[in-house]
Amino acid sequence: MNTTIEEILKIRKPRPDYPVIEEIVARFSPRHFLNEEININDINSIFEAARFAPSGWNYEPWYFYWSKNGERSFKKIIACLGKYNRYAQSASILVVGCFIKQFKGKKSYYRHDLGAAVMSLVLQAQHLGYYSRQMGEFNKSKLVKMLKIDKTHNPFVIIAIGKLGEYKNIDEKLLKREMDPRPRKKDFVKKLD
Amino acid sequence: MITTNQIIDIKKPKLNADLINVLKERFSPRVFSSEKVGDDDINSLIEAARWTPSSRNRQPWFFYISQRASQSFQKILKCLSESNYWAKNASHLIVGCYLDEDEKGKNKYAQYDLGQAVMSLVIQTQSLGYNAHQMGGFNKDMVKESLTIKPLYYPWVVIAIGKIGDYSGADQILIDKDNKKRERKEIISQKI
Repeated sequence: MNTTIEEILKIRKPRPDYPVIEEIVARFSPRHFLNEEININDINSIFEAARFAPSGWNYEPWYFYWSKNGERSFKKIIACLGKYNRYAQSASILVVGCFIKQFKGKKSYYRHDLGAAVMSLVLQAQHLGYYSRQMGEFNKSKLVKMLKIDKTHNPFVIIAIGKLGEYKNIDEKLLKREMDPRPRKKDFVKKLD
Repeated sequence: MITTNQIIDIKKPKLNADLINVLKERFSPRVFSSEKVGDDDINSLIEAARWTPSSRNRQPWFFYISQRASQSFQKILKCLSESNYWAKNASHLIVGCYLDEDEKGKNKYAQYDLGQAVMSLVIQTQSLGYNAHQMGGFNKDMVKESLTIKPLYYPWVVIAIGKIGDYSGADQILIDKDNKKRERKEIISQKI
């Protein structure tokens, strides 16, 4: 089967009912990347976007470890992923997003704020032409050990980033998963009187 | 006396790398103008949240939207911490909830995914020429009760939306809080 990027985009690209910025219109989370080096300026921009995300009481409760395809650390991260997520080996970089637990009294927003920082990062990456896919399923204790993650950093998400892959020679099973549309709920908002 | 432009200027991030304009411009003001955000724009910023990625596509978020001078707006204001009193001038207040549980069971990514969805919403808001300011300081039980929010929805953040206001006529307390440079950690990532 000769699937083209256009066919994938037709299924996976958002179809917003109201106008949204181009980065959101273009964004989806592929499982297939071009293993091509990302230049360091772009990588710096991607993390800069996270750095300026807002956070509760400006705690900035996030930290990121990242690794380039081909490096030893990259293989280590891959080894911590579930079988289901091994597609990530085609990514240009893998980012381990960690939250830092911090409380204001009993209140804590570190999960929420890490989400905000990652969303900024993802949209900045999208703007530069890079797609990303986030993964929550991985062996955390193994990762902490293998990468010598700081005690205060709690790995919560692994983000695969890279250019969209060429779909012509993709594995059949993976292709099937890629052709799965990601419908969105309509019932998620209520306008109050 | 300080002007709005001076505040906007002082809030410009000191960047170590280039960013898309909307991220350069974004900050969370405490002074809003009386101008109303139009319905089309509200639809757009909600749509931005809708297309956020989420763990297993569970979309564990729900938003209650309230406009100034409505009954619900008054109710939400009553639930805010005293220090958030400035929110009374916002055009809209949006209560962002996470869904702790759905048909797939408990969701440990619910708060995280709400954070992503709200950030999409905030970025879309900024791109339309408005500002957004998230608040965690409010009485959650009280909001839940007074807006009759569904049992498994957890109100987690209140977002004030509107046009930035005139700082020259603003309360001194608010000016003092906003007339400050952005503070950010220098290092938040490392290559391994």
